[in-house]
Amino acid sequence: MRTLKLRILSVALVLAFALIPFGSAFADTTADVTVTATPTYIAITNSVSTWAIGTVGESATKYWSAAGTAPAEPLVDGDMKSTITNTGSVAEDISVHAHNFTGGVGWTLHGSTVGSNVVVLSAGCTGDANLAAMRHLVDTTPQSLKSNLAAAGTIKWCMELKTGTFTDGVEKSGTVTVTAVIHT
Amino acid sequence: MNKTIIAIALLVMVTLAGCVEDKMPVVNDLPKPVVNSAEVADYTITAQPVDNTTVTATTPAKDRTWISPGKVSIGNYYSGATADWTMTIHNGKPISAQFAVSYRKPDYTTDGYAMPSTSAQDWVIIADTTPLLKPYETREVKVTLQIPAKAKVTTPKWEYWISVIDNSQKGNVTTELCSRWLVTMR
Repeated sequence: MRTLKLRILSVALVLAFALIPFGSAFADTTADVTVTATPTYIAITNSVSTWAIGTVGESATKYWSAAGTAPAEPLVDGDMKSTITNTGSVAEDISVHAHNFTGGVGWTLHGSTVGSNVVVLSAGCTGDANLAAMRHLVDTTPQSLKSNLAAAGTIKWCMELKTGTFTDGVEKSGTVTVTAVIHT
Repeated sequence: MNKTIIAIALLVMVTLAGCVEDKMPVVNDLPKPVVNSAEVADYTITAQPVDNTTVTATTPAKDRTWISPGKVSIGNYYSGATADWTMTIHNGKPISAQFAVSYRKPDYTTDGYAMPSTSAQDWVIIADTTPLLKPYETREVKVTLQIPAKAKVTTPKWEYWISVIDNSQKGNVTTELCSRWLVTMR
């Protein structure tokens, strides 16, 4: 009888102690959400913020370059229009995007071919092999201008606009946006 | 005597089992931690430049517009939880400037992270989407990720961006500053 009592007591204690670490294991699954951030600063400047294209004809090409003419190939600093400087504290990726031109029937940005109210807007920077290597901007789609631009680093860039044919003479306007984000 | 021993044994079992029960989470009743800077071990308060405390990274010049931090990582996240972080925006102009702070689909993502689902834009809450900053003012804007408990997120690691644009910029070539937010699901 004494043996039975000891067995019952042993089983009870074993079960009880076995449940303690089991509970702890469950508790681990409720670990808190973590939020971490490294103190970094994202900043850029772009030296020229305006492109006043002026009157433009059909099937024409306009340049946003130092001289307003086609840059030499390969593209070099001296022919570029604007300078982007990474004024942040870390390396950044620089991209550029645009939206379709508005005003009247508008102009649609096309990646390669001009057409009726369809234009090709391209961005290039120092080091591009030639004008054909410039990045064609399609509505809202970003194009990388420079990856891993070091803090205090600069990149000089320019743009080219090729027009097609027009169905109205209403003034058009559009915006080009230069985006900076931390390089990873 | 036997009954007494058995009763004591059962009492011990029930008591300890009761303690364990308190520690076991009910799946539908997981805690919803609101994480802020005070709870984050990896973050040093000295990184916040707004109160002129010492900073551990080089603060851009006063006359430069900047945002901080450039990257925020959210870990162990699950639908129903809330995670927030305060972004800092500095107006580097000698005039007041209205900024636009918004959720943004990334142009591309960090290696290993997927694009956000289309619903993600509804999960990100920005306390002030159009802050008006005085000349050279630095302002904090709280950004919160709050996914409804019933929402299913199929990608274990995904990314979204917070865009900050100075709407007072003149001209048709403007700049945009973005912060990466990397989310890792539990």
